[in-house]
Amino acid sequence: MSNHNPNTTSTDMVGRTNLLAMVEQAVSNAHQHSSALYFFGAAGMGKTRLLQEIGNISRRKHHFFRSKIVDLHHSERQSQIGIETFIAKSLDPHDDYFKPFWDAKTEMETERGLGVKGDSVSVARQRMTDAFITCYTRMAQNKPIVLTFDTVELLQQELDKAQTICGVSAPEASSVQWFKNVLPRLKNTVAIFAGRPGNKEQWLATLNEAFGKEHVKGDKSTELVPLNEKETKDLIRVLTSKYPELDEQIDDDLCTEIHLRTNGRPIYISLYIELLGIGVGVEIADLLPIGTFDKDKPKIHAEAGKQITTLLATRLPEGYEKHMLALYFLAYAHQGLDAKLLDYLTDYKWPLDEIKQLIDTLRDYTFIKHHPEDEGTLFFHDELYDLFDLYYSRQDARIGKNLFGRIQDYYQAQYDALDTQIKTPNPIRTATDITERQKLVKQREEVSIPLLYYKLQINPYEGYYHYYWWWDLTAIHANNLDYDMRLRDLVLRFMARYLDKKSPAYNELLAGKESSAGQLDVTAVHRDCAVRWVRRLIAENRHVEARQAARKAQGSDDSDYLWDAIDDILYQADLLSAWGEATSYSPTNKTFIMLHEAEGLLETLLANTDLEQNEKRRYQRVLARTYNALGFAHRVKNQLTTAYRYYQKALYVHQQTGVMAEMTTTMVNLAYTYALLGAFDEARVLIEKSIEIREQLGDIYGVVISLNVYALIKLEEDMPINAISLSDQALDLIKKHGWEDSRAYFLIHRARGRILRKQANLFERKIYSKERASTLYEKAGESLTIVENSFTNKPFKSKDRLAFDIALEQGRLHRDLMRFTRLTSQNDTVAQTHFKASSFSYNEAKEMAIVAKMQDEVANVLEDMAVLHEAAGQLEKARNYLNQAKTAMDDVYKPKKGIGFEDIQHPVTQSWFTLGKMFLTESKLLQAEAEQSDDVDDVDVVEEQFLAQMRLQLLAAACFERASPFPSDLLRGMRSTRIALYNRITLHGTQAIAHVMESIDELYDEYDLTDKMRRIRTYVAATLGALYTENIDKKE
Amino acid sequence: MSNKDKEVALTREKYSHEKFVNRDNELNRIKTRIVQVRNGAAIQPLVNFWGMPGIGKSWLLKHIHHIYTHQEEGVCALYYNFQTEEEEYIPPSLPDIIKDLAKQLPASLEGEGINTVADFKTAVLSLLPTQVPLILFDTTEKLPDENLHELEKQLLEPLLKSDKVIIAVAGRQKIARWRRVEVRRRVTPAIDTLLGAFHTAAFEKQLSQQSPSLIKKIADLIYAKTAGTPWLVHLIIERIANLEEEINEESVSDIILSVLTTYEQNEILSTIEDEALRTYFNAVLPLRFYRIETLREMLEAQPNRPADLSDVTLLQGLRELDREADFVWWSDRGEYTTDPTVRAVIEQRLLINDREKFINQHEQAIELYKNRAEEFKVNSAYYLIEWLYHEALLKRVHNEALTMDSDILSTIRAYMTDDDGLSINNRNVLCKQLDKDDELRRIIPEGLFNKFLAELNALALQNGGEE
Repeated sequence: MSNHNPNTTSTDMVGRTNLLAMVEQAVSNAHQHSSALYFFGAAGMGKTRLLQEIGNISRRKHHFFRSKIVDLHHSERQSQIGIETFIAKSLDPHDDYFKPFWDAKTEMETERGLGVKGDSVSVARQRMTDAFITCYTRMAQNKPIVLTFDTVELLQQELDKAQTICGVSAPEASSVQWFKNVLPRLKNTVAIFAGRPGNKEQWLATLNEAFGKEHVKGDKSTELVPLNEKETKDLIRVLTSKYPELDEQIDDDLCTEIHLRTNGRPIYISLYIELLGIGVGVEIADLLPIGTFDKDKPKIHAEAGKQITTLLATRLPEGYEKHMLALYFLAYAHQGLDAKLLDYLTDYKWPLDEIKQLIDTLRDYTFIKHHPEDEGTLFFHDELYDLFDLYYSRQDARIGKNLFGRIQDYYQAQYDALDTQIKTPNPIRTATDITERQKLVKQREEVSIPLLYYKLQINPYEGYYHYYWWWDLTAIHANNLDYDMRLRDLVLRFMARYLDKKSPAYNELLAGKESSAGQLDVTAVHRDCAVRWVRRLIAENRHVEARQAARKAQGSDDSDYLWDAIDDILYQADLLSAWGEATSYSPTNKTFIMLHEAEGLLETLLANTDLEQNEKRRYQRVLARTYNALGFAHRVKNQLTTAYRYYQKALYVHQQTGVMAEMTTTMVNLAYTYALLGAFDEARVLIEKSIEIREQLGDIYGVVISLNVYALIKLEEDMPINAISLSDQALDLIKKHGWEDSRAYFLIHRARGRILRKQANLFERKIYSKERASTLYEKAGESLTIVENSFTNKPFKSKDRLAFDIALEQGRLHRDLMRFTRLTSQNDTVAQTHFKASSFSYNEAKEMAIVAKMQDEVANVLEDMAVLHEAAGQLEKARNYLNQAKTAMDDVYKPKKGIGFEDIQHPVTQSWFTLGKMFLTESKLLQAEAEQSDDVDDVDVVEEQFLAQMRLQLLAAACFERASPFPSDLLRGMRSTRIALYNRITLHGTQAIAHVMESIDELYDEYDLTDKMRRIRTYVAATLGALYTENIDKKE
Repeated sequence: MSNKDKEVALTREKYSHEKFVNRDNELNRIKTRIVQVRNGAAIQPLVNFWGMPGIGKSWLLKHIHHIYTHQEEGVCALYYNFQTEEEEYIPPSLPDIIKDLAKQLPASLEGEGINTVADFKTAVLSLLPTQVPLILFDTTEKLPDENLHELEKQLLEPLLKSDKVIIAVAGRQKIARWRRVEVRRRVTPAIDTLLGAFHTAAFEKQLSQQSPSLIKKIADLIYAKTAGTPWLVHLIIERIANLEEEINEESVSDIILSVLTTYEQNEILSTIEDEALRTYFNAVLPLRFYRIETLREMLEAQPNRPADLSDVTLLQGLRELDREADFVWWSDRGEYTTDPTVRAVIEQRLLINDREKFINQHEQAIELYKNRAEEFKVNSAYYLIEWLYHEALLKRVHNEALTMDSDILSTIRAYMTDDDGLSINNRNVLCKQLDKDDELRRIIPEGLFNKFLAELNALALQNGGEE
């Protein structure tokens, strides 16, 4: 029944006195304990009307607050935020109580809108809910609050099979969770639910759990049964009072017949009386054939649908032509009909004001409902939609297709206009621009919901795979869980209604034949849902749960999921890809096996040349993510050369699909990998492009991430001052948006620890004063502490890699501080403290690396420890650590005489960097040892030492060369090696140049390193004179 | 056109009980109700005969009046005709009607003094139990809505509520116009009271009375072209009788064409005042059922297609047509339909004088249903049947035989068996609908029809059985 109609709601309620008494009783007990009443009954039994009556009581007696009816039919109400927002708005229209809630909501939405990823959005969401409860509790201290919820059968329906298969609970953001977690915390409350009986027991169980069994009523006593004959007559009397002419015509016999034919269902009683009232000559027998309400007679039900539809759309009396047209369109406008849409559908033939007036008039029909927040948007009563669906599915299919198509076009035009506005390049970093943009994005989301619905009506396959599939993945990727849930519910409900054979509205045209190409396969959708769960968990940084969900899906014995039996390669590839991605943060062999399997499956699919464009793009999107995950996993394993190749592939495929948000992730990853390999030009264009795109996308959080990576790139390029400037920009944005608890904030500080230390180290190059350097070291330490403190709290659950990084960096910071102290003061105690602190941190890092089986990092730390001890003058210990580092280093990476470097399939690039450093440190150590030895005057010894050191430096250069496939003179390690070599040669005497060149040549031959030595030779010639150019070219 | 056309004036034939043939069902319907009244109370005592001009509504009503005035006793039949001779129609007032009816009451009731509904009702009911009151209203389409509703409320409802007065009305409209609850409850379903054209036997009877010597070939031609519409048959025979030339197929064809043309112009198209509506009517004429999308497609194929084919215009147009034109209505199938006899008559006229257009239109229809069936394969039962109808019709026109190997039958067969063909439900629908499609049965040779239907039934059974 209409929940707006003054004529209906102001009339006396017929029957249901016992139920209303129950409400009064519950209200008077609410201060002792909140309780729930569950009124259930078949369609058209007057459930909504009963809820409205509760509102009327409140308006008359004022002894309780009450919310407007929360109708779960509307997609906005299908998320936690949606419910809280609606209740807050309707309970407290003047913001007397709920202001803190609105503030928290704005904050949460801002974070999400700016692209904040991971848990921090969940945290903000939680803060919002906490604020809701606080505000609510304050209000409930004054009077009991009655909350009314309609159409709860939608919650009972277990739509998402994949959720069970994957063993994931409904996400916090979903409406079901709200009823489980939030509702029970509301004091002095009576929660009233109305719905069709469906899975009644399941819903009762939820309520029992929430309120305690003794505080829940949902048995025979709360069932809305059909009106008895007397009540029917009373209702008819109430209704006919509007139509005096009718009043005298309807006698007792007719009342009895109406009662029998309508089965005592108020919706049909009022529909019939209303039609009679406006002069539709209709026999009740024609309107409702006997058997209309028998469950096993769907055909007769359809017959009633036909009669009613015909009446409403073609047989209203003169003067109602426009009503008929509007009702005709309304029958198809399942997502609501407002004046603008009606204006469009009627080809703008009448003035808009007239249309608006028409909408107002239509609202007075009892079989019309309107949107709870928008009186101008109309719907038919649910029961009528049920009838129409049955009827229309048997009609000329072209009519529906055309009309759904037109409505789709209407929303598509709106969507496109918003999309264009959003995508118009606009370097946005100002608050107003961002707010404006977020508004547009939100509007686009709102439009996309009905748009998707009509797309599904026109072609479920296309609707799902060409739109939902993309939009929802993007929502998941952006951690926009509320939007994601709305899209998901829309699709799954559509499927349950139209594509499930058991549904009364089953539509064989929409469902099609399973064997037909281009038909939506419901089982495939359920499988796809499983992958979405895995991806949702990844987006929330819940990698362990993501892995578990993937494992369960793969191992499920449900026939739709049976891994070895199903023929659904996309699903298998997609699941393996998502699963692999979930493990790529600490990759194991299995990670690579899964990702490669996914890669293989997808490449096979893509090799099919007959692919339809969208299908191809779909495979490509998964493939791009797979490549990216492979790149990431290799990157985590320090296999940089392999990593960048996968990133390159990912980038290539992303360019084809055009999913910008995901492409920028790859760009950022690739840029940093390039920087580590010394390819700074490549790194720079990519990182700058990523910033540009993210700004366009309004992904400010992404911009922060990009800026941080850009800073790290500059650091690799040995430009700590540029780096710190970029890092400052990132930090400014963090502060501006209040993201101090986000993951990005901690990533920035991890980077700052290094950047500031390197910046302070510029003191040695006389760029900074002692005081300035000292401050910078201090700041570096502060940054590291900020990250360390985050370990105990969110957002880092898996701290292995990060904790290692911080320990290593602490070691380096104290090492550099020790050196700095020594250079700037004679205070040995302070230096000693730093030595100890450094040593402690290094040991910690070493242990972590051993536990995490990061072999290359063990060697790396040991090498660092050698450097520390060398700097501290403890040469023996230094030598000892160096030997340990050598042992820890996998032999396969070491250059071998006569062989050079071995070919390795996926080399851990880091190993060559460590090895290079080891050669360099050893050369330094040799020098230091020599300085301490007695043989300083022995020419031969000195010569021998010189050659040995030089050879080590040359080998170091070879290692760095080997590490990167990019011809870069700026590669990390390489620069210091060259300087060391230059210094060593000049120290020895530049007259030895010829000798040096010979040694280089000898080393070439000995190690077969022809290709690795050319540039170092050029460098020597360039810096020490070049009579030997012919030799330089000799080995090319 | 020849000179003869100008002479054609479609005069009604005066009722003559000797010449009345056919309509046994309708007469029985009245009889049954009379018996019911005698036994206590009538069920559905309001009988609403309706149908196209010339189908014989007035004759039927007059004949009923004749039977119960002159042949059968125990019934008091009162007759009122809303048709008047005046140029400008002025609807009669209720007192006038009552006055007229009262005059027909037995003298003992002193009808002269009856002026009010209440008096009239008392008088009529006082006839019982010896006489059953039967009131006949003719040509109701003349009465504007408001007058009809006045009549309904003031006179019909009080009388009908007694369940002892039988009221028969005749008019072109299906009369979905009854508004009063008590009246609606007592009306015989419209589907049962549509007057159709004469079947062959009735036609032959009519012929035997009017022109017993007419040779069979000519008679067949007349039947085929008039679809058995009694008035048209009468008009043609009358002209043949006055023919000065030799009676042969050619001369008769000329007569038929001129009669049909005049009939179409004067009795059908002239009742649709709006030109756009006439365009719609003509565009969908070849179709047995239509709604907005079929109308649009047929209009689109026209050489002078209307500029405005928007949903709202077409929807309003169809509703207007339904309201304006008595021979277009919303069928129980959930689509608009044109009175099959009207359709047949106009189509026959078209076939005679613009064969090419006739063929074109049906080819368009075939194209339309063929595309629909391909686009919505799963539930294309109705499209396939319509496709078959138009195909079979054209075959007849071209004098070709429809065979089991014809494309359309093969297509239907394939749809019944293919994996991506009809749904199980639609396979059954197809069989059931075909089985009861009398019009289709008339244009497809019986043997072929039955054989094909049997084959389809067997296929439906193989592929999932009953619904």
